[in-house]
Amino acid sequence: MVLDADLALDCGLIPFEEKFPERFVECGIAEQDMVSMAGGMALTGLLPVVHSFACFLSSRPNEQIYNNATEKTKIIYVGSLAGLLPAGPGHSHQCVRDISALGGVPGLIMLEPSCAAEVALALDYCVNGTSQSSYLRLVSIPCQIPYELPSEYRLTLGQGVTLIEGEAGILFSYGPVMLPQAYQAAKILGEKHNISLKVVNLPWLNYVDLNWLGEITQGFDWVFTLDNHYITGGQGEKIASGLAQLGGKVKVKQFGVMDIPKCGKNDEVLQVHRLDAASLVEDIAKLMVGEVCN
Amino acid sequence: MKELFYIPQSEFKRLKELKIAAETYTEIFAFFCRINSLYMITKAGSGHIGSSFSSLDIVSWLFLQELNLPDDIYYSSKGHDVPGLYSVLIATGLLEFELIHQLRRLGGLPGHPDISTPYIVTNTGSLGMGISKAKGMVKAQRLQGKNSQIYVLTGDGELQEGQFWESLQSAANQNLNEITVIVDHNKIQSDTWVTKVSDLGNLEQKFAAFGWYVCRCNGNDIQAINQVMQELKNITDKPKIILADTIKGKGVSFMEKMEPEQRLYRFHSGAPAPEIYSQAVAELMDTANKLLQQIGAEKLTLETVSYTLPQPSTIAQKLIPV
Repeated sequence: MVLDADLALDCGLIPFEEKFPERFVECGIAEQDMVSMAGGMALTGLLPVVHSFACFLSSRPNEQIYNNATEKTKIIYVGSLAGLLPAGPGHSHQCVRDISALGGVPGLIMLEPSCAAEVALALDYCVNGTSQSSYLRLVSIPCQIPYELPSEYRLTLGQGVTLIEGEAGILFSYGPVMLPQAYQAAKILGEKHNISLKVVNLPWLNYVDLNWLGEITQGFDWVFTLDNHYITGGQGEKIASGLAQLGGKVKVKQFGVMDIPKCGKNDEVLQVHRLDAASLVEDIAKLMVGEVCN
Repeated sequence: MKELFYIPQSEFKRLKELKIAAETYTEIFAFFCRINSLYMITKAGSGHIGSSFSSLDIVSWLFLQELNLPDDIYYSSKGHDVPGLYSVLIATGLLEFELIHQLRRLGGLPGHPDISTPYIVTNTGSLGMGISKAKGMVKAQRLQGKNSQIYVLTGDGELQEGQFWESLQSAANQNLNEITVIVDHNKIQSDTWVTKVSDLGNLEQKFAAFGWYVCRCNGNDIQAINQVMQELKNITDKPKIILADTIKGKGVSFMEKMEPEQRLYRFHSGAPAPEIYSQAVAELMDTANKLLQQIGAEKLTLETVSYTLPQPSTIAQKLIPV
């Protein structure tokens, strides 16, 4: 059952509505009402898939999502327009606090796919791969994706997949906005600065498998994290916390949004928040070898 | 040490076997349940007396006369009146009787509704979500080819929540006539009079403007409740809402009152002090016995439980001056 709060077009729901009109519910601009309706549906045996923009879905009905979670039913929340970009709409729509707003909801698995192929895997995971509720975080802008996921790649809760091998440092990120920045940064660091950076796609936003984390970070002195979210409450904090629990001596640097998001052109805003590939290259090189890049 | 009293299962059985008229039976039953609610709350050391008492005539009528269980659904959106609901579920045998001693205890009956308890269908207590949930249930039922009735009790202070008003419009637009909402309109919210906190205006007009079928009755008058429920059976083209005028703390004279100079209502939540409990239970027993006498039945036989009032630590600090 698909629920929508007057964003059927922007959330990509029109094809579903046309094919399954009896399973599409237009709730109007009333997110709290929509989420509690989903709760009632789930109690009555349906699997509701609840849509809105991430900025609204994660915050206004936050208590309703928590209330549903206390009933231990299964509901899929899909937050579109997630992250810093597009930067044009401004901070009311730039959703960079949904992981922190919902990350502590018991039983809620939060994940963000990094490319179109991973969207299919993620949705299949939410529907068929888990009995728990989930929050599927989706970037809405088209993105150029410089990597391909390995053909044998399957989603395993709390574990990621390596996109570029490296030895000097390891960079964790997620999603189609930041992972391409991470990927390009690693290429430049290797080619221009002889810094070999491993890049890992970790689609799980509020949970990391500590055994996996311990194995994949073994031997590294530097761990970098890159969030399409405020650093506070983002994925980077989960990774840093995990590393602390593992008792390692690794150095950690978190990249992410630190101030209220700027409005502007996407590339300019990414740059001003120092989250574009060039800024990442500069900051990582400075940290690792004390070098200032040009 | 003091004594607490509750009405045992055998007395509910005796009442049922008297085979009296439905209205009289429900009225006496509701008074019995008030005694047991008061017992549960006092023993627990906290709970909501005022709205348990205001809603008990409605809840008793629904469970004794109206609901077609297990298909039909009842829940309270405000949730804090759940001691009253528990007392009804226990008296009707839908919950194990021994749970009467386990309000707000581990493995017992939670302070607000939780679906881990039989016949609790949704988790409530955070206000304003009830009708939204009912709409989701109706949508699901219709897909599944069912048309069970869903009764949702709300508070009146609860109507200050935005989600309540969000939830009204689409229920009418989509003719979700399976839903009957009952507003326990006891006029007093957590602190004081609703009119003093934030007046609700003309509720009948507002509900009607949202497209609901509206009716009003005395929610502490069993005959009036019966009458309005019969009226609603003919309404199949709209969701229905009953504005039930009730009295907070109904059944105990001093719990029904708030003096003009009084800043706060004293019986919204919390356990009564020992002397207050004794006065209240004496009044309730007196009323119940008078009602039994009127139908020529024997007086009540109560169970007695010894109870030691927990003493607060002398070194405990209060961070909030309550």
